[in-house]
Amino acid sequence: MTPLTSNRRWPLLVLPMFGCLLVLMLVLFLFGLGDVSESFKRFTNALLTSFSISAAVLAIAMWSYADSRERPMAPVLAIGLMAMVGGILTFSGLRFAGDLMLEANGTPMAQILYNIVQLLVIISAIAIAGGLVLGTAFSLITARQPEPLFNEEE
Amino acid sequence: MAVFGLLFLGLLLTVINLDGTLTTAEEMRSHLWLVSADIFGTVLGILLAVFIVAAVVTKYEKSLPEPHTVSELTVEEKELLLMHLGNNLEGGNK
Repeated sequence: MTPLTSNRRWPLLVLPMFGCLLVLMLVLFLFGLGDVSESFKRFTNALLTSFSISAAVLAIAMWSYADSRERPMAPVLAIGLMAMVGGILTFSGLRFAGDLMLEANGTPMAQILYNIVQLLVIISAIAIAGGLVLGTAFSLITARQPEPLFNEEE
Repeated sequence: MAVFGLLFLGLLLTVINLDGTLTTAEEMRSHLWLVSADIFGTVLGILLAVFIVAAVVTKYEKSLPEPHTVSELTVEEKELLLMHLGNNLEGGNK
């Protein structure tokens, strides 16, 4: 059996989450939405914030990788790629979503702080939901009676 | 698991259909839609960063030189090895 993180099984980790999210959005859409004109701005803000913070964390990890594998240019290449993608995302967001300011935030610094706090809230919510799912799954698995390895001879 | 799923589905259908004292059902649907956009953007951003790092690591790992291999043991070396193993392991020369 291939491990869960192998190439063939990685969609199993991502698809349920996106599937549930799409079902939720479909249900909301079918029941009717109110004022959701800022949804693309919210999406762009969340995308840019999570990408920037995870890219910064992974860039630090790349320095450790470069040290252990003796590949000193690896973090430079990774940071360059991440900066390029981040730039493209930022310019695309500004092009299609406008000024990216939400809820009467006056300055970009205020918006950045708002985004970071919101990211912490979302990650906490996902972690709690993931813990609930994992805990339930493990309790269900361990609650089973172990099957006998050998049938006793009569 | 199914119980939790049904419970949350029931709660979801309740809050998006019934008006409360502090918020209406339509406002609730709007908030949930905006939060869905937030979660979608957050997960997509994290996956994008991980994908870039994974691509760089894969590129560098593929460019690593092959590890040095040694040639196969000759018959004399195998016999010497078996002799040493036989002398040092319990059970004789087998």
